[in-house]
Amino acid sequence: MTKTINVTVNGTIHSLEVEPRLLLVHMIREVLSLTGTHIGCDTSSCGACTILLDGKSVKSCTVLAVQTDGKAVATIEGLAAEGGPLHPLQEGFKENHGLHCGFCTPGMIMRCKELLEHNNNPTEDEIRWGISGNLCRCTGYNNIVKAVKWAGAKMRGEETPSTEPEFV
Amino acid sequence: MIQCKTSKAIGGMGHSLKRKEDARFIQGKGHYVDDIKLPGMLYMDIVRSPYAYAKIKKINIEEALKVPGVVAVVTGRDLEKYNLHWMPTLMSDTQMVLPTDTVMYQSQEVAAVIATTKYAARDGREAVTVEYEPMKPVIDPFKSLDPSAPVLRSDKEGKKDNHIWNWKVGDKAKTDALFEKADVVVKEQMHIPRIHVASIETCGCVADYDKVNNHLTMYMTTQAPHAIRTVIALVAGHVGLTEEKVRVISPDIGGGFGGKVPVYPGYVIAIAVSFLVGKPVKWIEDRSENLQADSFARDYHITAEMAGTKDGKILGTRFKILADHGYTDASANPSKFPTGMFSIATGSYDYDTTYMECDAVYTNKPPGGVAYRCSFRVTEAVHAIERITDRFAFEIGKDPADLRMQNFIKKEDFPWHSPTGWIYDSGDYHAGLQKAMEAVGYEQLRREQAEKRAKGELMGIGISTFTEIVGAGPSKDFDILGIKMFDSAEIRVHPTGKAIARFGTKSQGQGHETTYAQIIAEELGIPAENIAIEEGDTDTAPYGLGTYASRSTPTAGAAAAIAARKLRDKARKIAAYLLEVSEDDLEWEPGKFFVKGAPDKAKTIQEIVFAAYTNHPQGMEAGFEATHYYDPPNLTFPSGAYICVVDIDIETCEIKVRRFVAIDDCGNIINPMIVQGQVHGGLTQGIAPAMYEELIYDEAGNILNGTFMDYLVPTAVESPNWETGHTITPSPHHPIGAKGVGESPTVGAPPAIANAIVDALSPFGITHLDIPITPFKVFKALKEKGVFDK
Amino acid sequence: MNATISKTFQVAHPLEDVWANITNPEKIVVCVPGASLTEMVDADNFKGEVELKFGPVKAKYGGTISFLERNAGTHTMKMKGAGTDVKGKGGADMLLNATMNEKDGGTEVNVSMDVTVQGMLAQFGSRLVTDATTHVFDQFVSNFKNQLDGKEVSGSLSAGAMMGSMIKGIFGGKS
Repeated sequence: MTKTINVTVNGTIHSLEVEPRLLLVHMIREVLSLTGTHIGCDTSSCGACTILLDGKSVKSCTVLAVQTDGKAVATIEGLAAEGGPLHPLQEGFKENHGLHCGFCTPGMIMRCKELLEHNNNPTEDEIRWGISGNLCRCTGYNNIVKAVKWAGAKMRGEETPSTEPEFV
Repeated sequence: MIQCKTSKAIGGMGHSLKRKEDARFIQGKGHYVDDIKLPGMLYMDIVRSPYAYAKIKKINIEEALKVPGVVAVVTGRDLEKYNLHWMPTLMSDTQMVLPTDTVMYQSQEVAAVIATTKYAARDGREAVTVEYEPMKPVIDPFKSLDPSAPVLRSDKEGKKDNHIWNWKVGDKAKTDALFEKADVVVKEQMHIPRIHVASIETCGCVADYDKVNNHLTMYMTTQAPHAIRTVIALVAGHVGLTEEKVRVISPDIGGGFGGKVPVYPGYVIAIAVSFLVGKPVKWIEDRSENLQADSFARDYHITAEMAGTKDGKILGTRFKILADHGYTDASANPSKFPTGMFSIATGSYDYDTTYMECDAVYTNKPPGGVAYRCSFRVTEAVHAIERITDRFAFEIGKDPADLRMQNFIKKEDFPWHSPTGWIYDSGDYHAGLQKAMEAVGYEQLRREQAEKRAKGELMGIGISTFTEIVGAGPSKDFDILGIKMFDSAEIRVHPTGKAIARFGTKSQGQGHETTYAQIIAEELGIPAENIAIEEGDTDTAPYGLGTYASRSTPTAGAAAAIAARKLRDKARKIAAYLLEVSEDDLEWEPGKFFVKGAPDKAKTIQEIVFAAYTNHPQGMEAGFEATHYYDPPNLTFPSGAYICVVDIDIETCEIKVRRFVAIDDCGNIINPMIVQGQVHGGLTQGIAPAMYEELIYDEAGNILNGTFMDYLVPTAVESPNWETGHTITPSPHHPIGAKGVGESPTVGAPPAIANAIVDALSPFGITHLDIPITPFKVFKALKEKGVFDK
Repeated sequence: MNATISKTFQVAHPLEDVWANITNPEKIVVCVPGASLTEMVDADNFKGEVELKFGPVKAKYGGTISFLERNAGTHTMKMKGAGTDVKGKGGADMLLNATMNEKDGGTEVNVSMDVTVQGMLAQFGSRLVTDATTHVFDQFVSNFKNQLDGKEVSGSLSAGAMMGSMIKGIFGGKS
């Protein structure tokens, strides 16, 4: 038994026949082959699968594909046109060494996108709490915080802070 | 300040070059194992044991085979026909791939379901029913040697108990005599908990066997692809998969930390199934499988003792370990080192008497003994020495910083011969601690602490001054399954002066694509951005032992420098030919050779390389390529001085890490930005076991926190803002003076945190708490001391 | 994962009636919420099934139940149950001790129950096991009383009530 859904993914409308139990993350990865969204756990704990659903960051491992009928999904692949300019967050993560293995990065960036849309000048504490639903095992978070601040400055049209490492 | 020899445009050592690999990761174009989709690919899911110890009476697969999409269910009996139901571990023990009659730990693989889709495989898994006869398991390692304990490895002929091996080092008689007569002896019993690397990407593979060409391509989350290829050939050579027929590809890896070194049963089953059905088979474990069945780290019970004088001179140490290895010894250690590098536990201190002993035992828990971002059991060693050093300082009422300064090995005493036989290459421990104390404002903090104590507030300051031992290792002593632990680099420079370099290592986030390019840029003057780095494909890369134990820079990084120097020697010959001068008349500066005294008479490296293909001297080999297999003469010994400040709320017992200063000395620095990033990440993986992480088993062998809901990986909220810095003491024996850094912070942070917490609680006579130190543990300790009585 | 619960309760029935009821497998088993008797092997051994729901985890156990002791002189009964999940996802053992004596014209019953669970239920439900066992036990007692009074016995475990009692437990309102 399948159900037809119409879902907009990164601006393109897809009409898909899906099993009612199909998870959104599997629809994104397996059906649409958008493998930038990752799976890191099975309990909605790690946030590697974070995408935007109608602009709100959600963990796509805990949403059914059928729930996205008539809605808009945004994944990391849609953040910047291929070969086009990067989103300030993408740039911020690269410039500030906000990633190591890259596995949590797409989910982290999508989460931060919503964060900055609500508050484009967050404090360190607001950033830390804001990304506390996304686990990173490599970076120790310092440079993710730095990347988000950098992206915020860029989005506000201000001068971006130095990206050089600071040592005591 | 780090001095760079090359311009920013060349981007050699010392430049904080932005990472070359990031472009794909930030745009969702990383290529991880689960992203691979091949035509006709089948999916595998695994039925696992709910019991820690049970006989398998019957596996009912009929219902599973009826599930639409399910093509096969594989059991141990099926693998037995091909003699693939057992495999060797890295420590030459044996491990079941699938059981034929007994399960030995909860979540052990019992059967594999193969289906045309991921969902069908999971449905099939649910439909398999297994009848078990549970038995009373051995969970507590302290009871595993009881005569009444069942002999778990009855598969081993003549095995009469659960003892695996005994290891010892040092002078027992001398140490015992010292402890007999020493003025001060302190002793603590410590547990270094069983933890899990929990890389955000779990383990998995796609095994793709091509029946027509009798060829296996194995895409796999492995930190050591070449070694894996050899292991596959050794295990499956008898069915025709000889080494030239096997290609292992390790694509982008979502974090490794040691957890992707071992061979897990799932990989072997996937290969076996692909071999039998001639189709690609994908197996990706989920998080609970990852936490519950993949290799754990640590689980050492250590009795640590220190002897010294009343004025603070350390005279000797004694360590007795009970190692819980679970069902089999599947540690990832060099063959001759069953306890890894634990014998670094004498620490950064100048004394000559020690004795260490370890007994390893079997229990009904998952096998393992991997690193968790540490070089072969160094974390255990450092925790033991740094905790017991603080305990000693407390006993004699001396400031732990003063005590350390008093006992450090002096800068001028390197190379220093440790009582367990290591030769520390270099270090300046006094300078490191001095810098950390200045950065944190140590004197001021001690004054603040005294004021707070007077008011009944709990504040603690903890120090850890550790010595790491990495870069395994010299072939004289180091091998894995007999293969020596060298590593390799192959550099090919194309006619237009751009290069590709390949390595036997495999990055899992360390940034090799950037740092290796910087090493070559440093040596050859070719801009790092024009040097492509490739790793992880055994068909193209030179043989190497892989990336773990902070060994990439010490081994493959050295290989890159030496291979580049071979090319520079060739370049000198070509330049001499082109400039019509003698080689001795040439001088090198990054990017060109010029004639001494006539700097405008020069040939750039690009011109020289072009000539190597278009106009090389007669009799010289054409082309511009070099390979080097580097066998290190010694290990490298990075060090660090860490200071942690904690505040504990006496009402809620909540522990807050207020500040953490980490001064690392990893020798010469290739990329400061990446080194700092590695330190940040390692520190968060240090606070993790210190305060949050532990795999907990109940008396029946049930894991009680086998998901991310319960296994507490620190988030950005638990992780404080790390303050980092460095001192630089180059390694004298390493071609570029580097030492390796990825793991130092994970090794050094836990004792700094534990020491800070115990320091905060010391007014109540608390001298030790086992990590992870949770608010509940603090509460219990304070309650025992009667703090809440009134 | 282990939970031990003991309880003393009073019923307004003569000792011998209560004794007869508690030692009769057909009567006692139906008092266990979610349990049913499937086969009598002999006088002391029989087979049954128990269905339990702990939050998201549903488990159906099949197993054997045996009377280890039925001493009509001292009115002491010991019963052991050992079950495995019918899907092979775990198991549970239960040891039940009961003693009774006359009191105020009725009977006072002392029961203690020791439950050990293994497998998935233990993994995911470890925090709930004690609370859930307490609830099962309370319902067992209430069923047992109703049975003696000739009232209807509720066969299935009422999950709603169970969650309610657990939530109360979590927030400190332990009854």
